[in-house]
Amino acid sequence: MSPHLASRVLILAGSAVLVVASRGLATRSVHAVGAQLPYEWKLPPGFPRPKVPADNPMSDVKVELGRYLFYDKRLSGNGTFSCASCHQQNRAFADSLPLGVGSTGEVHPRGSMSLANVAYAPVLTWANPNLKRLEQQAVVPMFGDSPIELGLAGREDSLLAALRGDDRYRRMFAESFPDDREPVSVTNVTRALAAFERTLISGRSAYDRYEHGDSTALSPAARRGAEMFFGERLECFHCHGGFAFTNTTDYVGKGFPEVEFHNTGLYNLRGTGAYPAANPGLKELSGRDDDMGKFKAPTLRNIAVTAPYMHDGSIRTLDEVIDHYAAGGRTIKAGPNAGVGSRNPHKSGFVKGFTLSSRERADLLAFLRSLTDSAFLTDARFVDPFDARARASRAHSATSR
Amino acid sequence: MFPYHLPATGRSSIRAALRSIATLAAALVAATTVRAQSAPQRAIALRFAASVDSLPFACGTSYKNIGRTHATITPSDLRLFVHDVRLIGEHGEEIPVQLQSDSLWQSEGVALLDFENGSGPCSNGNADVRDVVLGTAPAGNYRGVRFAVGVPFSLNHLDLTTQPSPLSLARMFWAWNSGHKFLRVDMTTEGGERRGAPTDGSEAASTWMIHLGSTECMPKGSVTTIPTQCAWANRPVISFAQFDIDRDVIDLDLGALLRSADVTVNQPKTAAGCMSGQTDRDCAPIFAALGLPFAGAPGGSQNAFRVLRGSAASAPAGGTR
Repeated sequence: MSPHLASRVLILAGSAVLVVASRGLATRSVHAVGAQLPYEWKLPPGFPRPKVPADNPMSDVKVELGRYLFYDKRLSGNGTFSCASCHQQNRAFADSLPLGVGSTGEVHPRGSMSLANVAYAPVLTWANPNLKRLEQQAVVPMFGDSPIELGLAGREDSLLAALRGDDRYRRMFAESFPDDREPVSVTNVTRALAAFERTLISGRSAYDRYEHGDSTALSPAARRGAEMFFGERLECFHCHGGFAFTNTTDYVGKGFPEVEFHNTGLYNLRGTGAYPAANPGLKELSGRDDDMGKFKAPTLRNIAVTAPYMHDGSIRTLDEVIDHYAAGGRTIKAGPNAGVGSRNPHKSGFVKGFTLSSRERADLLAFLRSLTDSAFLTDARFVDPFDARARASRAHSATSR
Repeated sequence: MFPYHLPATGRSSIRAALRSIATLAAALVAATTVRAQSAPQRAIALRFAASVDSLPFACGTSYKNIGRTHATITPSDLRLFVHDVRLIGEHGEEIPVQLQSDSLWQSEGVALLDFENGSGPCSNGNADVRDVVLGTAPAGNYRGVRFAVGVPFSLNHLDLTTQPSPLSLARMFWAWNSGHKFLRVDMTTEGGERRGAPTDGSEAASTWMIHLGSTECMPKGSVTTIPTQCAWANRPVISFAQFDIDRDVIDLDLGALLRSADVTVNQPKTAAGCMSGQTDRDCAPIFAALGLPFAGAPGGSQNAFRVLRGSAASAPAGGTR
């Protein structure tokens, strides 16, 4: 263990004892009352209630447990990575790499997705129609070996031993899963992570304030950009529509979950419609030729802070993303991926190209930037609790001196 | 209207007011129902089907000889909303059918018909299908039926996330200002007998979509502005004077809908196919088939829907789910 890590663990151990000592019995009685109350989401205006699996109800303590686990590097085989390594708050819980890189340095075929509003996603990741629950998804980065992400395969026992040996975790697991004889379990780790992820709701951008009545929230440029975004010339909103800025959503009372996958003409290898072998999209699971290159339209909320773009991070800037759609698909002139994407036979009918004046392009970019929810990027409820504790501890020692 | 949170902004107030109107309308309908229930009621199951000429509609099937260039189409979506269903009595009187509400297929007097089953090219849909509109009407002798395609204005321009299903379907919605897609037909196209390049400036198209809905809704303001009216309502009214409610089936024939269209081309700088805009020439033959006025041409009689006589008796209709 590095000296840095060792000192952090010592600080943690100390604060955990303090918390247990100061809260003690009171915590238990508060929890007993809390269990009766429905979970309070504190949703942004216009946001529906997220669906929650019946076997994993929300509670404040479970969300807090999930936050600790999300940021805890003991959730990787070599102690160097946590969920937050690839899902960083200041990047709307995506990262800045074109492709994800795991704890052992292995490169993932696709980029980290933003977790903003993942509670509303009826299917998860880029192109897997069968992955429907966050609890189920969490085991993929934890235990998957192709590629290795967190690298926990075969290390379940040591992970659980570490968590059980931590007073704070023992208490939080017990309070989060009061009916379980052994609350510290892999299943409950995934449940707590999912509960925390469901609280990562982003809906307080400048555009939201404008939509809910504050006509000064958007610049005239961003307003013109919005009209183009939602218009039939650019067609953006057909796939990136609604409160989530993606059509693939579900929520309480919706009736039918909606799931869409689209080929946007990003590639067209040898003119056959093929995408690079590492990422055939939906076809990888469905086996259907027509599903080549089809991926889920990701949310455009906070899109200005989640570069680079596309499932494989192959477009660096929003400006170049607009180039791709304006051309009705990307042309790659040389190399193994050469091809005219606009002629991809599996391409969505909405990606048909358009021309923009330089002012229109600036307007569209202004609109896309207005989808950044800066409060979400700094919300204290989502910050690294270990880091927050370390900072609080530093501040405390500074004032005592 | 206490249950509605009344916000300070004008746009939201209009939205709340529209909702209130919708509620009031629903209450009036309910009151009518109470009165009518003194008369014996009967269950109504209005059966629908979808076909392409002589063949049943199915996801993954390709259909030949479509449109004026005899092209081949492979559909990837087919859904529509229906409302204002009335039975026609022996003396021509029209009796409203009170639609059931299950907050899934039918709500607030609007019913969804869904002929895609999520398979093959329809994978952006879902497995559930629906080919019936359920409701009640006073028992009696009826000889005809009429209904409107689409969503009524009072329900058409509300916040999607506050609406019960089927009005919550994003795939059947544009934006608050433009409202719902009343009819959605998506397809890929190939072949066709057109010789040489199109003479009217159209470009070749391999994707064709029909998204019918209201257009030129005012005030425009922004996409989230709630309109007070739309210049083009685009709600086809379909009427059959001779219709046996217990035996006949209403069939939407895509072959007839596309009969005068060329699905292998698209007018440049317009949506692929017809998305209801008055400047989109690709819409002219579609609107004509639906009996709707378009760009100066008056509306006429529709020929996209037809009656299949006596088809309902053999096959039980219904929704899966």
